[in-house]
Amino acid sequence: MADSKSVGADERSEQSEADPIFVIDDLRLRAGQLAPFLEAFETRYRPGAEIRGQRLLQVLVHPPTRALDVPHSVVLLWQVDGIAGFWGVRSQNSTEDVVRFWLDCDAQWVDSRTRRYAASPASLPALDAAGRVNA
Amino acid sequence: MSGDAALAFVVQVGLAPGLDSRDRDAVARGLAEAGRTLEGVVASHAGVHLDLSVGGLDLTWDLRARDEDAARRVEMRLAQEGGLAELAPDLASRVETLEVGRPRILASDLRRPGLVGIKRSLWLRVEPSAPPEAVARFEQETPLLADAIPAIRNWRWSRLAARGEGPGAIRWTHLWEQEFEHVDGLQIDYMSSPAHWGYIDRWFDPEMPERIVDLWLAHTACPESAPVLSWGAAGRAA
Repeated sequence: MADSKSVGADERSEQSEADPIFVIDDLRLRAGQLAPFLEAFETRYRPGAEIRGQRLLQVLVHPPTRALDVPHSVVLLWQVDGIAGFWGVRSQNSTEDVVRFWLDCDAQWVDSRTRRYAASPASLPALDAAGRVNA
Repeated sequence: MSGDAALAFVVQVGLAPGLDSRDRDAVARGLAEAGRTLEGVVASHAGVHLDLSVGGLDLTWDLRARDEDAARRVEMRLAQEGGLAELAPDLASRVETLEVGRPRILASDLRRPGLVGIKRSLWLRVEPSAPPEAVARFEQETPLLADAIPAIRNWRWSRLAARGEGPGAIRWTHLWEQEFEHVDGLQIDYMSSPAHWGYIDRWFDPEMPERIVDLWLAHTACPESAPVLSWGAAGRAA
């Protein structure tokens, strides 16, 4: 809840460090906006995101062609290093640059979008346990 | 608990610059004592914020009124110009700001009645442009944190009536209070729970399209010397 500054990485469950957390951005673009979106993403967003601890695993485009005059969807798949990695991102992303990038996305290139945090089913017991240390 | 929801006051207190920890502790004791002298106040507690606190003022002062009439008088007294100076003249030079919150409880639970531990308060402002249906869902979902995080022993989730001007003005629309036995419950369990970072945080994250909460939060915590969330109530309400 944006109160990440209060938590040190060494105070979190060590077990959770081993469980990667994935960030899934699912963007429905406006027609004809694939190229300008990807250009803005690569120049204005990705470098800062990687500094904050988001590691880009995949950029996936649907439909997988530029020959159709239809809106594209883009999935950005990222990984962060466990719970500490999540808070590393959250402690650095309340900046004007980040907010401005997403506002520009919504105004210019993107019709709708979601961001979700996800993990492997095998990671769920350890992640849940991290929130029950003092149960 | 909702029946006597409006009897509680939660006040953020901002101190004059330069006070050391002994001064801050003395102000906390003085505020707690001064609160008990207010007509119609049945309980008063003040705690200095721990260093982990971010974005808020220096102390949290909790009060509980005997009934609605007393609560109205307390609110007028605290929110009037010079109200604190009248109540506690010796504290007036050391207290600069009072943000007076009067919680209207949306939901609450006491899983450990009588607990005297760590009280954490998250003061937040839902942006005025937020769609009503999103606000309603946010209000419904926040207590899920307590279901997922057993270290939250007691909790209270409330709306606040924002007041923009004058003494006691507050910019906050909601207050999320919890009691933990130890600070580790907040620092480890609360911050590590996937229900927090993986689900509820989307209302706060500036990269999420669902965000409706202003980025300026007040995350405060203080040690208790009284069972503040247990005052006058027991059991779950919603």
